[in-house]
Order: sequence, then structure tokens, then C-alpha cells
Amino acid sequence: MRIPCPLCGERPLEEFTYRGDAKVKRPDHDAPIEDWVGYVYVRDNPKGDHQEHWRHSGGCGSWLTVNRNTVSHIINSVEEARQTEESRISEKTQEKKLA
Amino acid sequence: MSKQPNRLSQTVNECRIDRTKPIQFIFNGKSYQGYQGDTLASALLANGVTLIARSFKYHRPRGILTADAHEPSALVQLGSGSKCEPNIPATTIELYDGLEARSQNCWPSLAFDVMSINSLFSPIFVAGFYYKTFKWPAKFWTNFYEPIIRKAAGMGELSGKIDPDTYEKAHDHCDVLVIGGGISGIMAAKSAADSGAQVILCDENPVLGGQISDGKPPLEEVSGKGPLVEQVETLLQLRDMNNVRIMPRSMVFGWYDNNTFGVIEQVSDHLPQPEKNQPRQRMRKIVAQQIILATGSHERSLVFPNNDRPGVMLASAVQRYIRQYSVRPGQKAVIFTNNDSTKKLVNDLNSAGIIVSAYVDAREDITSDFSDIQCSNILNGYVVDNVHGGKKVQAVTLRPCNGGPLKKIDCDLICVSGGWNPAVQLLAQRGQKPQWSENYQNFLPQFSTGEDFLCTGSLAGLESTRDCLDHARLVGEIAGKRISGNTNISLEKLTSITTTKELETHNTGFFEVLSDKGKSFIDLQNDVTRKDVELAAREGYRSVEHVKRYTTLGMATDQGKTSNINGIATLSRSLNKPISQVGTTGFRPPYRPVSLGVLAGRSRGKHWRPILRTPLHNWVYAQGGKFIESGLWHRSQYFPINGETMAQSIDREVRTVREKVGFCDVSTLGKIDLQGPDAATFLNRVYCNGFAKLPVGRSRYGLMLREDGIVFDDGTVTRLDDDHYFITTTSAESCSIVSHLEYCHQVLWPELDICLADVGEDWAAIALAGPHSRKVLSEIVDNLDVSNDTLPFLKAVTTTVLGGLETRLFRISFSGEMAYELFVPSQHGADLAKMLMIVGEKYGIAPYGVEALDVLRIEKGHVSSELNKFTTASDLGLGGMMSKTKDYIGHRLSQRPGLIAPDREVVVGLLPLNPKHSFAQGAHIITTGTSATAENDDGYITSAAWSPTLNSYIGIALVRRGRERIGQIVDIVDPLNGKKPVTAKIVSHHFYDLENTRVTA
Ligand SMILES: [Zn+2]
Repeated sequence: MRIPCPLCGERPLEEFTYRGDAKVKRPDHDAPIEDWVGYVYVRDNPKGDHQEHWRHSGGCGSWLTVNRNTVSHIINSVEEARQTEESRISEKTQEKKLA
Repeated sequence: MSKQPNRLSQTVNECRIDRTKPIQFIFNGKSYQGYQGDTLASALLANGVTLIARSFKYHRPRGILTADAHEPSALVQLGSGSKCEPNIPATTIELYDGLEARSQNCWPSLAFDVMSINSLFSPIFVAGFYYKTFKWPAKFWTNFYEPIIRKAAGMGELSGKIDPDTYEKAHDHCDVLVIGGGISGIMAAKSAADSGAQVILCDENPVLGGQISDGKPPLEEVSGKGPLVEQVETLLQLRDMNNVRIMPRSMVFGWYDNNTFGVIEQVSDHLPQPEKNQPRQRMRKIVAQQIILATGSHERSLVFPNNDRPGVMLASAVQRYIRQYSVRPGQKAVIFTNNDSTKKLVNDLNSAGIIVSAYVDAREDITSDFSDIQCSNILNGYVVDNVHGGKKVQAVTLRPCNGGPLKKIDCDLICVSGGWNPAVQLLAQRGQKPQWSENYQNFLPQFSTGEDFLCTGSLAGLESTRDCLDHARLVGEIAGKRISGNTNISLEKLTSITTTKELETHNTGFFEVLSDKGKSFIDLQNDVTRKDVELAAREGYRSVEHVKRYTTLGMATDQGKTSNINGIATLSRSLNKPISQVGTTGFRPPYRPVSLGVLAGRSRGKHWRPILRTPLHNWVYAQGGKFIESGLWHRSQYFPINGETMAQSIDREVRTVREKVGFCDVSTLGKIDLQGPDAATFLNRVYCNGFAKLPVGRSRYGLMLREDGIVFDDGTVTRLDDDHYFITTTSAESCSIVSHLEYCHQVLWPELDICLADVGEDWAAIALAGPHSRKVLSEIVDNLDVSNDTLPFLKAVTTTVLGGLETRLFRISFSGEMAYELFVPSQHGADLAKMLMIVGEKYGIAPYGVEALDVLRIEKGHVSSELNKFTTASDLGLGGMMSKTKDYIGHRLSQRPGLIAPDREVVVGLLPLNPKHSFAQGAHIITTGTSATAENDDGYITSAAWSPTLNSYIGIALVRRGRERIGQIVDIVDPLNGKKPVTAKIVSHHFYDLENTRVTA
């Protein structure tokens, strides 16, 4: 498998470290303990599209958000996780403002 | 010396061998001669040797079936001693001087095999015999069944020695990768290269050409500007092109994601000795944009009684041995076929002086024209009813399909053709399900084109050389255009060639002779017969994948390349279900067996992972220090002087630190530079203890948890400036901590304005410890008051030493003595060590290694190996560090009931009642008087050492309810190491200077 790192270009799998599901979100501190258990231990195992975190550990060191199909291994998009998270945060603040 | 009785005088097509270079080789202890370019198989045939091996299950005599790498029968043990390699097809071994090979599966000899008695017991070797016969009683397995099966059914043998050869890996990229160097591959490569694309052409054989002279159906004559000449010319042009790399002896074994290919190049297997610095094999990973598959097709055999006798050969193999190697595989031949590809073989046999006793075509309703066949005995509508002869074919019995008298004909060679199977294996690796073609009577690619690949040649079904060349030229053009950025090319012309040809073709579906005169083999390598497949069907097996595993059909090293289709045909008949519905099994990499050595490449022994050396490494070495491997690091272990033993040296080093002053290389610590206005907030979230109020110029011990509440790592954090921190981690976790902190920053809290960098390699670190450490320090600092008032415990300064050497100086202690950690730029680490030796001499300074470091910290009661990924902060006695007022990584789950339960194993000290009684890390704790069972297990030793300070063995342990049990007497048991129990007292794990006066002195 090869992953197109937004900073380094397309690089082979050996340079990357897999972490897992990018959609799990760290709960608020006072969230119920069940949320925390889910965050740490419970993962879906989807067949098909999966948004996941990889680190370009043998390259620039960036954490990446990779949209990968778990069946075909086709990678549909890759961006820096920081950008994914920042846009998520700004969406959240937008929502709050609207509400 | 044998004279090669079956070597013909030079033929027109002879292309493989060089008669000016005779080669001596040894087979089964006997010396023979062959020529440069021979395979072991062709050389043995030239010498009249046709009995090569004994079969896997029944130990039946076997000869040579093919001229290809997927040979199922002629497997030999190659080489001797540590270079010995089992299960190598004689058809792939290129002859070299001094080659040594022997037969497999025969005992005591090839000609007289005791185990062939297995044939008489064949009822117990039926399909699924592993599952049926050896079920009961269970204990018979180890004592009876297994040893017998191993002896009876073993394949070749491993040498059991270290592989003396070298292997290497290489990475390659190209625009167009052409797989297969037959006529289609050569033409496609040329036409793609003409467009300017960078092309790699791989072929598993030593010479390109594929089936070029095999007379694959129907091959035009070599006359005028016929396709053969055209092809040879193309090949010559290809060799001169700068944008083409031809890789012979290179087998593409796997097609992986994003068009990454695994390729094994046999670099020196064909040489008596590799040239200097030459590996035996090389694994290439090739990444390509466009793939042209020209993998060709494999001839399949037919199923009839005793079809495994030496002398039964594939028709195309006979033709290749005659044409390419000028070898006569027999004297009197019978051809048994179901297609037209064997027609030209008759001419080859005639020209080789082999009598063609009969041309047997199984097809009854034949439309084929036999007038051009130079054979007086053409029998269409006949089948081979039985083969006579044991170690060699002697005759065949022929039977007319529509009844009538049998005919017995003498012969020593049976040339069989059951049709051709496109080599779809690589496509199947990518998930394609090959589709049955009624017209071709074989499995074709499910898709012969995709946006990044194109199939051509006989893989695409094409049978004539002209069609292959035309199609391949077009395929090469398309690939070239795609590389130039033209992605929208019509494939209509391509598909029209293949669909037209398929419609025109009407091959006959004949696979097996239903005669019970002897065993009819489908899979020769695994000894699977027609009856085995029929039995599996009767027993209820329906799926081809299940039948495969139950009967072991196609599961041998050739992966059924000559047998699968016949097995599927038998299954189809037994189930009364068309082949298209039975389908074929999947294929996984590797396409052919790959040696483990080449997958390892150079990553063997000490080269399997890098060695990390600290900046002080050479200095330690010059001091006579010993090293110990710790993760990737080679750390200084101890520094023996005057012939000390290791134990003596460690004792002296510990006493030196306790009484005088010592220093230790701690450069392996992870070091992270953290900057930014939000750095304090960040630290507060990643450590369980508070960092918001750490003043500038102070160090603090920090404990990190994982999000599940378990302790991750410990270390120190020093605030160098308002927005600037310096973090140290343990040596073991330095990489994972950097990754973790980057995750925390980039993913969890991207809004924090911080920046962190791994500066582990930038700083050498030395711990200077002992009552005289301040005096030594005062002699190396440039302009710094080192008194306890200005430089108290946990004070941190950035200063210079030794006349301008930049230094980060932290008063931190791991040993329990007054101590300092000095960080200097890496390149000056050794200078600092040298200077410490000089200025410290009058104070009795000595370097100490990690063994003494460990003893010192155990005496002091600092946890280290106790951070074993099972322990919580409070297990380690550090529960008080956990902040109750903030959110941090691991906070919530550290409060789970299981992690705060009162009966957890917690850290305590252990003192043996007899101070001379030793115990080891990993030993278990039980209540004195109970037996050493898992139920009585109360915990285990995590650290153990001889303490020269306490003059006793001491240990740290994790003991259930340990804190409540301080003062109790327990037994330390170590049954695995056969040690006698040691009686010990549970004490506080702080053995030394409980008041902490020495570190603050
Ligand atoms: Zn990168």
C-alpha cells in the first residue's frame, strides 16, 4: 500500500504507523464513564470506507487523517489530522454561535 | 563418464545450450555431463535418466513432467551441507560445474523404496486421511502416528544449519511493468517503450522467449518475415533501448496494493559460487503506473490410469527439450491429446529420430485436419486406457471411445496435452474470479483490462502467434499513451480481437479417462487421484475450496498449475454441475515458492535492526567499559578494572557513588524540546501531576499515564524559560512518547499554540553523582555558584562549562545521592567525560554503568522496571502525584473500580532473612508454608540486586495488598529456574536514605 502524505508525497506503507479509527472523539472530562470506556476500547470494524489515523513516522512525523476503503485498500483522501481537527473545532464553534 | 546418449546433434532451434562448455554434475552420487545452459532436468534426460524422485504419499516412481518452474514430479534435494535446499524442481535448476543433487522421498534408495508399500495401503491414504485415520486415541499422535507420517510423507529435508548465502533488497520504479517475456511481453514492451515510457520487462526464465519454440497452437513456420523472426528482431531492438530494463530470472511473485510488485531475482543460483559481493537472490519491490500482464499459459495434463509413470510428459515439454536443448526424451512415443497444439510435435519427434507409434486424439467428432501430420497411426476417438511399466513407461493400452477392441502399443514416452490454462494467478491475487470459457475450455481473466493494467497474449486467451503480436503491440501503445497522460483511450479494438477469437474457437472439454485399471493422478505432487476427488464429492463436499483442502488437491508447492483444472473437471462431473458453476480456487502470493532468506534480505543477525550508540560510546570502549544491549541501544554496562569480575566491578562502582563521586552516561534518555505560549497547558494535560506552576529554572519529576489509566512513562520536565521546556523520557519509550505527544497536539488539541521536537540525538547526557559531585562540578563550570543555596535540589540552569561549552545543568538525582545531570551538545559528550576523569581524580571519581545505576536506584526505591504496562500510579506508590483538580490523559479511566481495587499488587521491598540468599526478577511471592501454585501466587519480583550498601540481596516486588503486609515473612519461589525458596521480609521499597537528606545536601 502507498499513502500520499500531503507533506512528503506518495510514500510506501513501511514509512507509516497505523493507529486506528479517526472518528472516535475524546469525551469531555465530566462525560459518563461509559463514554470513556467506549472511547478507549470500543471500535467498529467496518467493511468499506474508514476514516483512520496514520502517522508518517518514517517521514515528516505528521499525524494524518486517511480515508481508506478496508476492502480495496483504495485511499480516497489524506489530510493532516491537525487540519481535520481544526475544521471540526471551528464547525463546532459555528454551531454553538448559531445556537 | 557418461556420454549423453540422448543428446541429439545440433538442431536448428537449439538456443539454450552451449556445446563448447561441458559441465560435470552429480546426481544421486553418480557423475554426469551436461552443457552450459542445460537445466538439471534436460541434462538428466540427455543422459537417459528418467527416474528422478519418489512421490509424496505413495512413493511411486516419478520422472519429469514439464520443462517449467511448476514441475510437480521431479523435485530434488539440491546442494549439500548448509547450502542444501529441498523440493527444488529439476526443471528450474540451471546446471553449473560441480552441482550436486539427489532424489527425495526415497529410502533406502530411489530404485528400491521401502515406503512404496504405502501404495498397498492406499485405502488408508484416501481423501481426508489425516482427518479420518489418525483421530484416536489422542496419545497415539505423539508416539505413533506423527513419527511415522513424518518419515513416510516428508518432502525434502532442511539442513538445519544457518544459511551461508547473502540476499538483498532493492526498490524500483517504472512507468510500465511488463510481466512475462514471451512473444507477447516482448512486443508489448517494445511498443510501450517506443512511446518513451520507462519500461521494465520481467521474466522468470534465464532467457526470454517463453513458449516461442514450443509450437503453441498454431505456430507459423520460421520462414521469410514470419512472426518468429519479427519477434527476435523486436527483442534485439528492445535490448538497445535506454528506457527499457530487461530483468531475466526475475519472478513476479506478488501483486500488492498501489501496483507494488514483489519480484525475486535469482542472481547467482546458476553459478557454482556467487561472484564477490554478489547475493544469491535479490528481492525487488517495483512500483509501476501501468501493468502489462503477458504471463502466458500453462499446458495441463490428462487424467488416465498410471499417468504418473516416468516417461509421461507434457507435449510442450517434449517439444522444448528437443528443440531448445537437443535432447531426446525417449525412443518411441505416443501422443495423447485433445487439441491441435500437438500437431507440430510430430515433426519434432520425427526429426529427433523418435518413432511416433501413435497419435491419439480423444476427440470423436473431430473437425480437425490431420493430413499434415507425419504419422501413420492416427487414432482419433481413442483414449489411453492404461499405462504399462513401473519405473519407466513400456507400453500403453488404447481404447476406442465408442467401444471396440483395445490396442496395446509399445512406447517409452507419452506426450500428453490436455489444453492450456491462462496464468491468471497474479490477477486472482488482486481479487479477480477467473471465468470459465466454454469455447476455450479454460479459465480466463475476469477482467483483462483495467485503468492501470492490460492483459495480452495467451493469458487473454489468444492462441496464434500473429494474434498475440498484434494484440500485444496495441496493448503497449495504449499503456504508453496512458503514461503520457491520455487516460481516455478506447479499448474497443483490443476487446474486439479477444472476443472475435473466443467466438471462433471451439476447444473440446475432455479431461479424464474413466478407467479403473490403475491410479489416475490429478495432482502429481500431492498424490491426489481422481478417486479422491470423487470420494470427497460423495462425502458431501460441494465447494471447490473445501475439496481442495480436504483432498489437498493443488496445495503442493506447484499450487496445482498443471492439475487444478482437471480436479475441477472431475468435481464438476461428480457433482453433475457445469465447471462454470464449480469455479476455481483463489490464489495468494507467492506465485511460486520464495526462500525465506530473500524476504529477510540483509536484516539478519546483528543487521536485523539498527544499533544505537551514544556520543560517549567510543570513550566507554577506550575505558574498557562493557556494553549491554538495551532495546536498540548499546549502553555501558560496567567498567571493570584490575581484572575485576562483573559483580566486583558493580560493587565498587556503587560504593564509589555512595562514598565519593561517579558519573554515568545517560544519553539514551529521550529528550524533547517543547516551546510555545500554551506549553504549560499542554504539559498539564499529558502528565498526571501538575505543571502549571513550575517556575522557570526548575525541574520536576513527571508521570504520564495512558488514556486507559495505566502508567506510560516517567521522566523530568525542566522549565528553561517562560515558553520553553525540556522534557526527558525513559530510554525505552522515547520514540513512543514523541509519537504520543505529537498525537496529543496534532489530533486532540490542535488549538494549543505549541511546537515540539525530538532532540534526543542532539544532547549527550551525563549524571554526576556522589557526595563529592558538587566539588567536581565546581571545577568544570565557567562562572557559576554551585552552592546549595543557589543550586539546590531540582534547580535548573543553562550555563557553560570547560570554557564556553553550552550546558543544561539540572540538579536531579536517580541514585539517591547529591547529583547533577549535565546535557551538552552531542559532539562534546566525550570531552566532558574525559575532563570529569581528570578533575575528579583527586576526589576518587569513577565511571559507572547501567548495572550500578540499577543497584543505586533499587536501593533508593525508585521505580523503573516496575513501569511494566500493568501498573497504575498508586500501584507504584505514586498515587499522590495524580492531580485531583485537572483533566489529563488517563484521568477518568484510572479511577475505574478495577484500577483502584484494594487487593491490587503494589510495590514493596523484600529483604531475605539470610542476606546472602539471592533471588531473581520474575520469581513469585507466596505466603510462607503454602505450596507454589497459581492460586497461592501473591505477586512477583520486579527488581533484584546485591546491595553493597546494605550488604544484602534486596528486591522490589509487586505484592497483593503489599502495603498492609509490611513486616510479614513470605517465601520467594522460582520453580522454573529450579531454585530453592528464599524466605524474606516485606519492607518499604525505599531501602536507603528515607529522609532524603543526601540528595538535598
Ligand atoms: Zn510526510
